[in-house]
Amino acid sequence: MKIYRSIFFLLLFLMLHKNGFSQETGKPFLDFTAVTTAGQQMKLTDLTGKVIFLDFWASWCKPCKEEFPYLIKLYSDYKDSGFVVVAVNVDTDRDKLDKFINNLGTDVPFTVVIDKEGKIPDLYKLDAMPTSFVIDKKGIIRYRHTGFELSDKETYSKEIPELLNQN
Amino acid sequence: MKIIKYIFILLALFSIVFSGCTTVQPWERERLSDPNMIFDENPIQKGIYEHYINIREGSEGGDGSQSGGCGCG
Repeated sequence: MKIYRSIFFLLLFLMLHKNGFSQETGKPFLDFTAVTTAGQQMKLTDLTGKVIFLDFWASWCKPCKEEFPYLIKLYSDYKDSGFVVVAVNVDTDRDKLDKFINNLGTDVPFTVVIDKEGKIPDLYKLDAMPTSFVIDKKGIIRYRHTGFELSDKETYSKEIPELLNQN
Repeated sequence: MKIIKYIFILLALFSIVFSGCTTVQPWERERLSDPNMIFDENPIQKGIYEHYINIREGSEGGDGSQSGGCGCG
């Protein structure tokens, strides 16, 4: 009887919880190595000591189209203060990525990483696209944003300087 | 006791059968987010209409259409 009950709850737990937990704030970031659009290897730990904006996006994601130009502005505003943007692209087709960037009408000044297989978003257990993580100088995930709305611009412009001012 | 046995067997069967169903992760929705995945003559207009309904009704889903994955597209 007890065994049946235990197995019952175990199965129930496994069925309901197969997707795992999403990456939480207050914890260190999960390191990864990836290839950039320029063909160079990058490792996230190499950026420790800077405020990192880790963004997950795709060319087919509608809110990403609104978010991306804003990320360029955000990076331009704070790059001299130790702010970096790492944009992880999950498109399976490189041409779509290139088309997206060409349509922006401007160069992308920050690092864009290619992850066709979706290993990095799987590592971070994303709930939606786009999702972004704001990581402080010590490598702790301080903020997590799911989706992108115009009101997020104000939030980002408060969070980034706040973290840049911390040691 | 018998009922528990039946429930256990049923649940075991469910866990075997439905383990074949996987969740399409947000970063895997490239094809699903295509307007062609909407069952309508004019998928783009339908998408706009559904977005409008979602805002008005505060409801979402159940109609087969997809978006970027965040629910705000």
